[in-house]
Amino acid sequence: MGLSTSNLPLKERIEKEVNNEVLRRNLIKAQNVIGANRKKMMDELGHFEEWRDLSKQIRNHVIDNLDGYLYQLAEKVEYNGGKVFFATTSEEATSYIQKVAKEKNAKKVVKSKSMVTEEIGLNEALEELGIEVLETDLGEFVLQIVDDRPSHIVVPAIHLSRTEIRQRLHDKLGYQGPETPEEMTKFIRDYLREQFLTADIGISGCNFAIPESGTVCLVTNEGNLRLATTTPKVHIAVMGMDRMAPNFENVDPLLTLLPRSAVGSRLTSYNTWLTGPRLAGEVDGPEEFHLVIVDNGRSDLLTSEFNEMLRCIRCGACMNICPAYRQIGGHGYGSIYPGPMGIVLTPILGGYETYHELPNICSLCTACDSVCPVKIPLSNLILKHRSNIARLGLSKLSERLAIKGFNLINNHPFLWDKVVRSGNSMLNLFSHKDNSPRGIFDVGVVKEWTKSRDLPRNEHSKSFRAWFKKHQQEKRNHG
Amino acid sequence: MANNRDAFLQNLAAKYGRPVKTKADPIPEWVVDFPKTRLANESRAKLLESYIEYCRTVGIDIQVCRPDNLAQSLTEITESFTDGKIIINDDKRLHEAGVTASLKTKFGDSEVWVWSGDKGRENIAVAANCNIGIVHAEAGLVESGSIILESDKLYGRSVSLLPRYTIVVLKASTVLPRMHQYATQLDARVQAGERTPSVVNIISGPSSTADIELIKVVGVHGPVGITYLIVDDENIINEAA
Repeated sequence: MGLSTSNLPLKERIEKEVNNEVLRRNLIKAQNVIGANRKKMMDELGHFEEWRDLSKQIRNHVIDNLDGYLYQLAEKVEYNGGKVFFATTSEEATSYIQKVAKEKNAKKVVKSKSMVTEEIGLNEALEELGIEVLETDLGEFVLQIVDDRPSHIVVPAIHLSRTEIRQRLHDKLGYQGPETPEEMTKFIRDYLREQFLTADIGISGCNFAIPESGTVCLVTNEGNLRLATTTPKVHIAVMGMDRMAPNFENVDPLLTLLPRSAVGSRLTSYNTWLTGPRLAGEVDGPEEFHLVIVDNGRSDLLTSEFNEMLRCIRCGACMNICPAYRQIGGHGYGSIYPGPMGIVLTPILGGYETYHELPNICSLCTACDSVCPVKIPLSNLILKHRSNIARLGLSKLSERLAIKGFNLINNHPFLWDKVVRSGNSMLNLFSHKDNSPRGIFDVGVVKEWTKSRDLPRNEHSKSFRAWFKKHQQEKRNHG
Repeated sequence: MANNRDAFLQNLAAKYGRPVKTKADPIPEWVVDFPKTRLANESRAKLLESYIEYCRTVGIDIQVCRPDNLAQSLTEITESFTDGKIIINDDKRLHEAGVTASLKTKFGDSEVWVWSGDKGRENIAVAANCNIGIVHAEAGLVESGSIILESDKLYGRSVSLLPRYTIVVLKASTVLPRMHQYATQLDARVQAGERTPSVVNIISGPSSTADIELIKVVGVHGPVGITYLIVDDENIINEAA
């Protein structure tokens, strides 16, 4: 499925999510809780702005030296006995992984959560070969059993209530217990434990790779990543090509901000730094390690006006504070990357033709700019997308005509004056006395706008300027 | 290298309008040095006090002992969790402190499995059935209440992963302020030509999730509980006396 999570058109998608009471309650709670935790952490850390400047500097250094670091990383992984594959497209990445799976005669794969593997459609590619692919991150597992898609990059099943989750576990796996999170988690633990012990391949993403040692650093809480890279004989790590830190010393600042931004923790339960394959004499851990480095459109960013997006460390802080996300959740965006980072990244990876509507899901409030740990100017980039989309003629014709009309009037003071004055006297033609729109105007943008707002009315016989002009004249006349 | 590397990197360099770099530029001077200075000026006693307090705040069971009663303390803690089914790494430090012997005396030889290279994957099957896994940490981190485990052929990754509970023995003298100090040591080892361990695990508590309605549940795929047993080898922790 790749980037897209929905076949519905934008308006329908948004209507669906906005009218989902359970979803909105969960989202509001999620944002409030995670937002408060994030803030508490940053206040406790102190000097948040300087830490952000530092992280931005580190990530910029990596991006400027991408080829150098990737060269070093690949050399070291191969030196350690691992294999590296550079994939320009998602198809190249999935073909390579299919090849490895076939060579290993793999029947079962366990996966730890990874956005890039969703982006390239890896699960579908492996299932095509008849391989059983199990998501093991609790949220992703629950989504997988009924073919649902993630709605957040850190807590993917946030759109589900415990009742819905219990229903799924009951229908698909015969769960009989109560709907308490503790009992359901225990059930999933027992179910998946068996799968880990019998899987042929473990697949992970990569938070940050360290070139000098050939290490992949992974940040997790549940223990599924550890299991997926301990018991199966093969480990495949898939990484977006920019996901590196210069060395261990300089992955620390990024690991200082990532868990605080994402979930409000100083560190997650497990920071697992894997330098595969295992060493001679070791009994557990993978015998074989593959690193798949994915471009899939990221190199187009390098010298584009959007290159700052490459710094993103996928923390989700931007969507946790976004007022638009708060109302519609990830599914409203229709992309696996939702929220502010999603509407910047998705059109870049997936093209304007398909995703030109996404940059409109934003009020440009700039809250996201202030929480991004690597200082990506998200609202600026969203505005740039809108500008590009309009220039390409992909935005709605009516919108472009309206803007053209406005520009024309705005550029001619005489016209402006006349339109404003006539508008003033004609204002009441558009609405009823209760501020609702009159019949023929109750369409399109006006209809949407007035769902929760009134149209303005003029209850005076003249405009303020006219009145004020008269008033000043009267004052002069009477001294 | 027949893996697309050259074409891939050529593409990046071409976008930048320069030849391919096979090495990154030197790391520049950073705008601030907070990672290094944060917590770095605290006294050892204060650091250890903060460490113990923070761990307890976040629900990590933390106990302190003296070097001379490590074996006894560990055995007592283990006894409070289980009647048997214990797995322990083949760790010289634990053997030399008398821990392994003490456990075998208490629970019986058949209840204490020592990770053994020549038993292959049988070790994993045993670990999966054990109640307790006992390991020795390489270091601790005060800021995040963490312990650090490094892999080795005498140690199993499974020992701190598959059994329900983990008990980690940690020398107080190896407790560091925060990740920076461990990371710089690791960089130095890499620069000196050492191959990094096949896995380094920085563990900051038991496994947990908040995927269901953001309610935190402790104990998911990894251990449901973890105990740190700090050995006061610097003789500065009040509790140990």
